[in-house]
Amino acid sequence: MRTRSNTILLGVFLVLAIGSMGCEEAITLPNRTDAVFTIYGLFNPKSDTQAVRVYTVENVLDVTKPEPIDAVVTSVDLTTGDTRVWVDSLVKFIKDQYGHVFYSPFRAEFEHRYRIEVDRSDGAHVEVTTTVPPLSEPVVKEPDPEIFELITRVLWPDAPNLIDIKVVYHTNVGILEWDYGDSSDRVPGGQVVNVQFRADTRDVFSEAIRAGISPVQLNRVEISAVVADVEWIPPDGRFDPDILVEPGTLTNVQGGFGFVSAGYQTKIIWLPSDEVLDVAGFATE
Amino acid sequence: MLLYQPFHILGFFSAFPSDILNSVDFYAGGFGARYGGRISSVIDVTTRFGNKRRFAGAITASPFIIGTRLEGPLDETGRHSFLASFRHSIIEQGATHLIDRPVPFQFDDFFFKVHSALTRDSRFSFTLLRTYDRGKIGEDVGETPLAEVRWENQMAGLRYLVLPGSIPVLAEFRIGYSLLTSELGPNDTPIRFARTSRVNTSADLTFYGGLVDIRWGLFARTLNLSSELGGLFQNFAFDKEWVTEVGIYGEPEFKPIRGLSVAPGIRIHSFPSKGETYVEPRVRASYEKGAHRFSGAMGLYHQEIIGVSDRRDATSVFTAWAAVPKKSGVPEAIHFILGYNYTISRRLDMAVEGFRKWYSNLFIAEWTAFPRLTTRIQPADGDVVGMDFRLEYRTPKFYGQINYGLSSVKYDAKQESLELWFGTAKFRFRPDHDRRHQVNILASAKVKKFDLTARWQFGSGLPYNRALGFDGFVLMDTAINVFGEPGDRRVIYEQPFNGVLPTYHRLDLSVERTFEAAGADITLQGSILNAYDRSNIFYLDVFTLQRADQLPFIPSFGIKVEVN
Repeated sequence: MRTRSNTILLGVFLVLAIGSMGCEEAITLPNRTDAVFTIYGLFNPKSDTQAVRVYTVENVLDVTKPEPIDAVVTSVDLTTGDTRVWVDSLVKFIKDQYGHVFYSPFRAEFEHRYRIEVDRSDGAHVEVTTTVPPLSEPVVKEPDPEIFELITRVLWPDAPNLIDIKVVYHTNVGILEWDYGDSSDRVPGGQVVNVQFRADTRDVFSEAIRAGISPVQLNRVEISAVVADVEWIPPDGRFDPDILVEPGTLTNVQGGFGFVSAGYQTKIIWLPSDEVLDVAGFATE
Repeated sequence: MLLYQPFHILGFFSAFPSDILNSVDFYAGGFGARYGGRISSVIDVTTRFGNKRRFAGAITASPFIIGTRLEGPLDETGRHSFLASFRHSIIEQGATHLIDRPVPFQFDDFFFKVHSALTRDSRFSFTLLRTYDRGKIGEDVGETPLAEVRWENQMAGLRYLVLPGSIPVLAEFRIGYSLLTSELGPNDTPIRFARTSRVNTSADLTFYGGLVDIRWGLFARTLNLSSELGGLFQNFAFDKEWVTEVGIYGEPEFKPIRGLSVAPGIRIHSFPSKGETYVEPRVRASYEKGAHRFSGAMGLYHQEIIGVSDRRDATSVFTAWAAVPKKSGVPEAIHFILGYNYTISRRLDMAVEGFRKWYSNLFIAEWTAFPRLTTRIQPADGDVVGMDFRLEYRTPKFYGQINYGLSSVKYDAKQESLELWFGTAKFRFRPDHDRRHQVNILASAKVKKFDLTARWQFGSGLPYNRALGFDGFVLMDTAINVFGEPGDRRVIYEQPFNGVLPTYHRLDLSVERTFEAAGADITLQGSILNAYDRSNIFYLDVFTLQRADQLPFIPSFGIKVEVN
């Protein structure tokens, strides 16, 4: 029994050892992504130069080296047929980081549709299409002083989409900035932002009491927003980098990753009427 | 005392030399009310004390390791002794004489214990333990310095035990300090650092009542967790936090009839830094009749601290420790264990144990495409099902053991962004410690005067995260100027933990013979590690695909001189 058991166990050893010698030692790599480029940028009709950042999709992680990349960037104005080849500029950012920014010196036209194409020498291709929104400048409608909340309606006529909406209150107590994100409402004829004037300025008076400042003066209100392509909307309504960093979460690039859109910054300076200032608690002239 | 890293690098040696051990109890789950603060498993190691009558010692030398043990009485009363042990690996230097490959690993450990029989009824001991491990995990490539990982355990503890002869009560009082420091990167300028320390005080009493034994106790501990996480592409992060745990437990053990033992227990475990207190019911039972032994256990468990590793580090050689967020509850587990042992004959034993665990309120590392290690965490739930089988055969000249473990671990991640990323609020995956199959076979035989030993180990590959590519990320939240926006590097990951590392297996052979000479036992040993030179992975950098393997084929010889 002892000899037989020893033999059986030795046999088990040999079978397992020999059998397992064939087990793969190498790391099984996944099929690499087909995407070859990642591009970011926008067509800005208020800028004389248009630019996009181009990354190559690589197999290992390393810093971008100060070398040319195998990429040709072309833009096509789909409205006029105008085609341009963009120029690569190797930009050195902070901490010796390099990046490839392709640019072309022209002004994008309002309401024109553009296509960006990036090609590699082996024929790999990515492209993205975007529409420059129409020209729109904000118009402020004075709030009704009879309504306690003092909601101030700001209209961007013909604007398809607004992002990065900010309201900045300049007072003798300090500067107060409110980030409205993309909180605008679509109305016939454009986009409206309802500024919560009284709610926004409540903290100013608390701070004034603490600082012993009286009277409290409101010098001006700056209301700004980016008028953007209708597709420039983050999922879940937030531009949260920890969400958007995931590839594919906010992307419009065909054959690649990234996001290219169109838009421009707008701003209006507004000083409320004496009646509104008085109702809100601010000093008047 | 708590030892955070109980195994040396590569898992080949335990932190405790075998000749200082008194007992080792491993609880895969269902552990009793005396243990707590952990939701998975417990290893309870008891060391022996030194020889109180005469001096004894041993010296060991091989191309792997040199070691010494010395013990003896502290005075002539025969009531006080010391035990000291020191081991230092020389494999990094010694192996190069045997094989033509570098083996860039080093470890050492130092153990010291003083034990005193203060009176007939009381005992006192003081213990120190220090371990150190270092391993190179790849060459520098470009600007990604992940050259070395190091960790050090330090422990100190006092134990006072009272066993009055007049009453059947055993009382133990303990104070212990434990520290683990881990570093990643060059020795003089580590890029990542984690430090975990703990001070623990406890009192345990056992009343031996014949048909019922009653154990109860109380404890208080404070932990300090800190980490500095740097590195290329890493936003530097520094965290430091203190947590405390206090509690009390009671566990009567009933033995109403011969062979039957039932131990229901209650543990009240409080986490004041979280404002949470939990009542943890436990029950363990066993019934032995003839050659059969049935056992079972179930219980509720909680654990406040969690370990997070970089998704880049496929084998988790570096772990940062953090406490779960406040007001989030504490991770919880329910265990259910059933076991059966059968003594088939006086030479053959078999045992099988099945287990099921449910985890809730877990926290795991947040998933991000930014190439960084972060202690930001996401909630998760999980469950485990598995079984262990053991067959043991022994004769006066032969010992054989086969162990097989089968288990499946699944987690459901609940990070807020999963719905956007994967279209589901919960993502089910296999975590990086889900080893599906494990086999250990040990055979040792005495042939003539030689002791022959063969050991074969096998483990399924572990899940890890694979990258499909690397690009960059620019946050398009306004009309940015791309000339002025540096952006961040980004990892294009596959679905989380979709890859599986290669299987691990190794065959080790050894032969030794002991001679008596001049009052000493001299043992000559020859061995072959990794007999068929399997490349078992130790470290894998998912980003650069740099890899470091465990021990290659290494023939070795050694000598041990022991004086008792």
